[in-house]
Amino acid sequence: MLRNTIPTRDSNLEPLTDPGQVTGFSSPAQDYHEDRLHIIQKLVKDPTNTYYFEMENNDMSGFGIVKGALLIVDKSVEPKHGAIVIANVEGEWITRKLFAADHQKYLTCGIQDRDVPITTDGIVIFGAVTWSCNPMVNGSMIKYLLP
Amino acid sequence: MVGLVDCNNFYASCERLFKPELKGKPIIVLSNNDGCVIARSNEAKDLGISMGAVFYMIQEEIKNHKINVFSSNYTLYGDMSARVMTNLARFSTDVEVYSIDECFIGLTGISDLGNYAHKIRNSIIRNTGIPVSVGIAPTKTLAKLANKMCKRTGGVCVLDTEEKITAAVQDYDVEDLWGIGRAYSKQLILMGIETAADLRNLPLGFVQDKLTIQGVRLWSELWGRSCIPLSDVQDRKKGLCTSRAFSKLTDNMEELSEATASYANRLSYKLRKDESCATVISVRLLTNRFKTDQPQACPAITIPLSHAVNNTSDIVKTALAGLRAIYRKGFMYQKVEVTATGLIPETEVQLNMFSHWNGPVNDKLSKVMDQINGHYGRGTIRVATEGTSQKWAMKRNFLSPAYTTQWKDIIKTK
Repeated sequence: MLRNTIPTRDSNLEPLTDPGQVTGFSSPAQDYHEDRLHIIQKLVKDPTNTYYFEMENNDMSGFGIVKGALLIVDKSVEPKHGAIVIANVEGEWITRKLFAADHQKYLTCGIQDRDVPITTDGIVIFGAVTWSCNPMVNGSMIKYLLP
Repeated sequence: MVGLVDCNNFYASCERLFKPELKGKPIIVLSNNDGCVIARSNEAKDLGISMGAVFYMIQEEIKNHKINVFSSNYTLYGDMSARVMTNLARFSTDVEVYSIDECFIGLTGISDLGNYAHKIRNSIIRNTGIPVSVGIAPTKTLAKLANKMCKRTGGVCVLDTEEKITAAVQDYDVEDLWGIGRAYSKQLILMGIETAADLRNLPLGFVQDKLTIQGVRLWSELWGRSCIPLSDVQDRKKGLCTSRAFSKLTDNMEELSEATASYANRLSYKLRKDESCATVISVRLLTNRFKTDQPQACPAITIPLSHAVNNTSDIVKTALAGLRAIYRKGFMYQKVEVTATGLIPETEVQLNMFSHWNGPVNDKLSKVMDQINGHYGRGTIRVATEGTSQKWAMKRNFLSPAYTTQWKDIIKTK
């Protein structure tokens, strides 16, 4: 979708509907107003077709995806050669890089011995990972300074 | 031209999307309280598992054929349905979501319908993973019929010429037509009308004479004259009901009160979402009518409200008063039903000058409850009378995770 997703306002965190609205002198910034950036506009282009997964180990650290990473999958994006994909191999969910060589598609984590050729029926590709968000800090360690 | 898009074995397909290893394996989905079968994958249909089969009576088949069993996960199905419908609405401005897994779509002015139908189908399958069939025809009734034929034609069926329509109605059983109930189809078969073609070939005079207005509409629709337009606005609901069977039969007043309070709370929430207020609240208790050896009762009460309300406090209080009035000892109850009727828009509430009115305070309280529950998840804050143990709560032993609506339930990958 071309249009940006507009995040909903949390009235507790943002008590003012329009902080730019003034009663006295009209704000000189009013004519220059643009909506503030929000991460969702970059990470989720099509919320209707977006699904989320979580990385459970460090198998994909070679591709910059570490344990605990949030993986964003947009099913409307075609999983092509070179894409990081979510796949299900006989009941097990894995994240791998999809690549093609000699008319054969493979799933790899960077270690050749562990490459999985996509031949059998038991392999289903769920979709392409469009973004991965690595955790930099344990969630419980973050303290927001709110009133 | 109008299309009908139908999700194939929708509930089973939703479960399979997040368990792809079940591809080609039989799946059944159970009703609330794990009572009976309400959805089957093709493999389960082929095994002869019938719709509505009672779960505890088919244990043997389940074991022998390794059938995968799921409790109904309406949270998941609701979200997947919304995804399918949203994708579909990108193809036409004219859509009517007909049920959780079916949608009519206006296709006037599209030139290459076959191509467009494939485009719709492929796009939905790619974006949602849910397989769909697309039937296209001049009227809704024929679109429904075209959709049923998709099984044979590979997911898409376009009835755009007179020849194709004539061929399609030829062997189509009259009871499979849209809007024909069992009683009506029996009546038609008695008159010698067995296929859609039989019905269509009747002279107009006969149809007008012998059939109901519904029959005349059906007849015209079969001839490609649209009588049932796409409707995009849903009529304001006339009544709302919350009821669910308990996981076990009970005569315990405490448990019944908890369940009643909980359903009344849910009902008031539905009213607020609908921006309606109730003027009448009904409460009904039901025993299990299939347990013929037990005494049966179904006491009910209808309580007119002095003020039209939709706040939790007033509705729970009224429902509980109703329950106390109808409760009789000596019966094992299976179900309690709380219904709101005489709904009026929230903005048109008239006050009553002869009775006390605590609306503004209660409304505010309900609004805060909705906000908290919206933010922290359903059930975070409840009415105390709902109880904490909820022994009567729904049995869902085979429930799959809320993969798409709860962060704690998203799939972990390796």
